[in-house]
Amino acid sequence: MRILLVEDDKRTSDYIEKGLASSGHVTDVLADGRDALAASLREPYDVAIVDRMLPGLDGLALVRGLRAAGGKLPIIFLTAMGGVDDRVEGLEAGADDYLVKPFAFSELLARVNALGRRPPISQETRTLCVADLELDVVKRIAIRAGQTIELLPREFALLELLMRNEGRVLTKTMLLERIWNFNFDPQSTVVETHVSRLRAKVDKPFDVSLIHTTRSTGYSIHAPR
Amino acid sequence: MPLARLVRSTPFRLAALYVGLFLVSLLAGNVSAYRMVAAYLYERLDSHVMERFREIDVAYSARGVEGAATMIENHAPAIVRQETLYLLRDPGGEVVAGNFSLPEVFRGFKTFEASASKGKTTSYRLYGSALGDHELVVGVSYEDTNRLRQIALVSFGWASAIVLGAGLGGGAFLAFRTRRRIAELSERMKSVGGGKLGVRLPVSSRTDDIDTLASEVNVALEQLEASMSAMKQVTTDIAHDLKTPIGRLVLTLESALEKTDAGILQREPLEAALAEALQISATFDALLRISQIEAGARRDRFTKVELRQIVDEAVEVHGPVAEEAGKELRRLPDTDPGTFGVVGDIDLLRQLCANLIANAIRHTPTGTEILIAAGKENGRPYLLVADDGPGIPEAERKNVFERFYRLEKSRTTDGSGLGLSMVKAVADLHGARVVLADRAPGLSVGVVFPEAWPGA
Repeated sequence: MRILLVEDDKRTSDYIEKGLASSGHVTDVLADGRDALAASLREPYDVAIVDRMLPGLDGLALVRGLRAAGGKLPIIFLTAMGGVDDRVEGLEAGADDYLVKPFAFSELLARVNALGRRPPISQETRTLCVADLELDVVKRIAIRAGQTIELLPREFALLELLMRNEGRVLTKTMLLERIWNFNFDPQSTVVETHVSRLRAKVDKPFDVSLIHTTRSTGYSIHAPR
Repeated sequence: MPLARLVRSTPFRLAALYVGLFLVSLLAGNVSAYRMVAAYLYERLDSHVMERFREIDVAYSARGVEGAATMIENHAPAIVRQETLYLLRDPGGEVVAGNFSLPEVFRGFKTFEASASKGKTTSYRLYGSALGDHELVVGVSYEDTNRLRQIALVSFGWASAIVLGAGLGGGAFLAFRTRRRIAELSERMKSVGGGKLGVRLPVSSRTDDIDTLASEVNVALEQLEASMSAMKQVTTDIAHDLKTPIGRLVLTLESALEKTDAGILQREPLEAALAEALQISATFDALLRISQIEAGARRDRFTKVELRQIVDEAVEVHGPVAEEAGKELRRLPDTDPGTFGVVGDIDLLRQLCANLIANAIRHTPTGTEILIAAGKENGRPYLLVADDGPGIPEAERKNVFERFYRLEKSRTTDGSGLGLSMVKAVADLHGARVVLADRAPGLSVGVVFPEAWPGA
């Protein structure tokens, strides 16, 4: 993917650039908000990562400006401010995702991957398939190897999200935000517990496991490789 | 107090202005009153003279010159005391009767100075006119009139002096008293400025404007003191509780370095260091969040939140977590068929609920039953999380809301020590009360909201 990184701290941007490069992404780094706005409107980037505090034009204004100009580029907002309102403010400005510094690189990578080049499967898709697991999102039915799996609504939502992002790691924080609407650390093993229950239903009765854990990062679903 | 400063002080200026204005108006009033009295006295003197003249005139009309002369004689006692002067002359200019003489007779009023006995001069008011073919001049001494005028002047003078004295004295008294109160207030504010935030301004029982101001300043000081001490508390907390994990991080990294030096590259110490660093960052986030919530952030985003929904969700989300930990999370049946809507922030209320449940799971033994409920009592909606675990000793209940506070026995369990501070901050933001109660055994935490959503 081609990624625009707008960050004025050289060490941070070097680090992120290196990390993204080793995952096969090409990154343009800009330190000034104004330059970034021009570049984002000119170049066909797949994702932009925007720091909130920038010289020239601050991150919020940059995102607002881009959206006002009709830019549809998916944007992840980076900020050192993890306050209650900062997140909402960033999303209201038009960012698609939000990450508080300091963050683990794996968290950023997972979010970049989830945002960039959305899968061709649209929201209207009736069924999602991963190996022999089939999910009818309209009838809310999960079938694996011809067997119907009984799922609670929240388990279904979790499975659906994983399947829509087949092969991509979704971090615990992402799952908390998207499945449970938790924009905070619940100080408990909510994600682990629910994923393990889902596994007990989806994977355990079968020979092959589809749900995978990426150590200290998150979960993904894919056919055995 | 230096005089210059006294003169510049507001109470003194006000008093001086007040006394000055008062004095000017008082003097103006007295002067014009005196003038009116004096004018009246002179008028009265003139009519007195005219009256004397008419008496003679009447006697002359009745009995001619004889009658007039007799009438003048009748006034002999007054003539002797030289209070009244008469001069009646015939057409030839010869004096017919009277007690003084004039070189020339005149018509109308006139003031006349006559030297009396003992070298004193006496002034007279004279009136001269024709009496048939004779001429008559009558005069009355100014003495009485002047005496009355004197009395009026003295009494107005005294009145002015007394009022002036009282005004000046009262003004000075008020100025000094107010000045003293203000000086005291300013003295105390100086020590507040010097950092003594515990100082309060004196408020008297008069409840005047200075008292109102002082009480308002006191309220502001109260809040300032509270937030200052909260800030100090946070600083101390950070120094105390964040240095521990940072210390562990340093040690872990050091040992990782040593192992690298020894040629052994290990994943574990680095993983531990990363986890430690993330935990530190999470603690900072929690602190920031708490202080933002305490500062009243988000209140403008309040909407209707149904507590029943919060509870249902909590059971669904945290139930399995409790089960995994060997505990049971159970929802109590609703006591009320109605809804339990409150005005609030759903995100924060979810977090409040999550923190209470996480606490109950973390600090109770296996087999504990955790109850959660929403309800309404006396029109006030509430959330309740209760357990039958070890509870919190009465003496410690107040402290558990403090940042990083942990019961001695739970020092070893994980958790940031910020969960209940967050609960308290969220409750405060919603104007809700957190009530800790002993269930013997166990603890119940109630969050009682001030009022239901309008119409709920």
